[in-house]
Amino acid sequence: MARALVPTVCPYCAAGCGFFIAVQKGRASGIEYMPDHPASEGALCSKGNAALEILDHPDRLRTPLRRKGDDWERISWDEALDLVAKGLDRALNSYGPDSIGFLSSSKCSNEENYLFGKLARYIGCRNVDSCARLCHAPSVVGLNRTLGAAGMTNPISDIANSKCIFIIGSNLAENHPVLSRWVHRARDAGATVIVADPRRTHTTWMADTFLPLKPGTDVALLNGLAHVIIKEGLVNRSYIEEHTRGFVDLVAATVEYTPERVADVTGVPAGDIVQAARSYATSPASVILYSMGITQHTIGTDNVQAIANLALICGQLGREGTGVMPLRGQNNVQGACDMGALAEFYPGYKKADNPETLKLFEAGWGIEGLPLGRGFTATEMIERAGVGKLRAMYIMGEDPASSEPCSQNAQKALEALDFLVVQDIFMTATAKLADVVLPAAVWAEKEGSYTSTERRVQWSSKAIEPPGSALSDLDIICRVAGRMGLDFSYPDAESVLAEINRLVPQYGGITRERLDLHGLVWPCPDSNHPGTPILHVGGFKLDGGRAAIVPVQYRPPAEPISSGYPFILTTGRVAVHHNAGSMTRRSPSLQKREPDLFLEINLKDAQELDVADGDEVTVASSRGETVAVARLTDGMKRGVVFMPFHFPRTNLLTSEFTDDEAWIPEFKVSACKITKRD
Amino acid sequence: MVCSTGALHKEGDKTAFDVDKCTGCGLCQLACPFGVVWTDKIAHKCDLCSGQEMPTCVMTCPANALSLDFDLASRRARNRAAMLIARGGRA
Repeated sequence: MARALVPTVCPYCAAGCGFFIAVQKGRASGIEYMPDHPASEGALCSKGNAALEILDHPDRLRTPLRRKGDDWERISWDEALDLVAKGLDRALNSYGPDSIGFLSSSKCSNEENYLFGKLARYIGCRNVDSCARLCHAPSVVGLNRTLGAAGMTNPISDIANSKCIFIIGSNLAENHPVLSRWVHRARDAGATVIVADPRRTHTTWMADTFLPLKPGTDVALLNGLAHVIIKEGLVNRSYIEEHTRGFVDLVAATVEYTPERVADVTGVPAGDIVQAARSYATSPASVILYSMGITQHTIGTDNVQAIANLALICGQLGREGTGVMPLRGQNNVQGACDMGALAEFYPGYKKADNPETLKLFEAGWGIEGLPLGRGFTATEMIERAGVGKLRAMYIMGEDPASSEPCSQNAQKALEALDFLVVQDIFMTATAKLADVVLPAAVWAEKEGSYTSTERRVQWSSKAIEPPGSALSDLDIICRVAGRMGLDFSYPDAESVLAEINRLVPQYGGITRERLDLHGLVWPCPDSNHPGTPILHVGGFKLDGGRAAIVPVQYRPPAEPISSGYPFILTTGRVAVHHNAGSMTRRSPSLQKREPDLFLEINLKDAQELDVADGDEVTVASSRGETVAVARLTDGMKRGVVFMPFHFPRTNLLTSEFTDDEAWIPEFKVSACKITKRD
Repeated sequence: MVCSTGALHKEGDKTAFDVDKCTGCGLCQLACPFGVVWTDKIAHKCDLCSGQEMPTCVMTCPANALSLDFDLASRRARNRAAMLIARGGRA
């Protein structure tokens, strides 16, 4: 029997692992590994190995649906498109373009994100955002400001060349599992590994130095490291003079952050702070890896800037084994940001409040009167829906009813909309609130390019047909646009990529023909350019070619603990689940291994509450409460508890306070109380 | 060593398994400290994915914890122990 091997990119995290889908008689029959893949070398984690389980899943949406009371009615695409066009047009005509919100998807391809944003802006609506808001918005703001580019500076495989790996706010061993192989390889060659995290995790097992800090005290720790490095004369003087501005301000700003004071604030022993600072500054090549433990704070942008400052004063950028590496969460969250699925940016990080940007896209798109200024963010859209200022939403492949903080408020807000259309692969919590649900294809049922966390743009081919009458997101967007009277006649993803090549300079040379199995790393301005695996070699794309050192000061998290809510709740991920869980919780082999919501709590704290391992507990914040199974561990600090956010009830509790520059909610710190259930 | 029928036997470095000779006595399962052999009606044993360039478990292991380099694991364990001693026994 003929068996075709179709190259594809894993649909889960942003590591961008490649593999082949074996196809027999039009069905996906199995996975074959891709040993020469540059980031994964053929490896796949448990999620990647289980990826095919969602393809022909019985829960897949197979036809368009219309709400009928509490029930759903199957309708034709024709009827569905009419309803969508009418619903959006009505809001547009009655309340204006600012009354509509578009949520784009980090799961969808570059081409789909690009077109979705184009559709919104074509009809004059500025409100295009995506769940990148909830994970790495501060990286976009903070790294653009300091280094002039938002993205991992060095490739994943380059971690192996590092001599000191500083991991802060990332549990990569579970959440980006293939990265561990490169960390181990560096360790085998003698590298030192430093991990800062409030929890002892699978990642801290790799650490030579573990810095168990209190949640939300990262700026204090990072400034403390800078203080030691400056005081002991370990800064890279020539690098600072040649490539940066603002060093003097940083010296002044960190003078108070002595190891002893920082130890008081963070709970990390002063000696370990000094040791970590020396290791990082003096190693010939040091890299910082970070993730949502840094970004999901009201001070997320400050955290990112403090990291950039550290790399800059030590000159640990622009060479092999160095760099600042934001580890992104979803297969195409980097690409979604690159394609302008952020309220403040058009494709290619062109600022939405700059008239020049509009001129460029008006010329490129052959249209006039694009809307000036930043739109409302994902979180703001939900807020505005709640008070009746946003009347309609078009949500593609996102589940804000599960993923927004204090999700019960998000659900109420979505219910209050006049019109909600949700385009997804499963009936998610958000889709359940919709007026019209459009069935979409999953990654293996369509083609397109995806950009991994290392800025590697890879082409994923179509392996099989979608179930029922489901269509690719690209196809659906074009049909919706057509029904609204716009000319979106793109025959395929390749033709959209060709338009991206023309309008997004970083992607100028990333054409379909050049995307072979291993992809290309942006910036890649023209068709002869080999791509740019390492950023900032020899300088920065900011004023005068210099990076900006932007000093920041420690501020405590927005929600303090109190006698009523004495525990700090922090949220995160586990190895076998992904984000809001709509895919992994439907994947039998993964769900079997981690079926229930759990709460990790320190042994002594549990003892005081008379809670034993496996007991059910009620966890409550000022916003809501939920039930979880207690897991006792000595890997948690006292007074801190952890819950994974893959289960929809976790976000009933989380804090709605946001960063005032990147508007990311502070998922990592919420005050809560815990009681044993009888 | 414990296999009385020669179903489990040495082929070079590897321990091979001849299914036709197995009586299902279960002694091999008792003898193996790593749980590499298990029995229901007869014994089952990993053949390191014979015929493939690399066993599937090694290929897919994200962290490269599994490897065909038998010295790697002991080198890593030794490094870890040495590090512990260098830091005065503090984990």
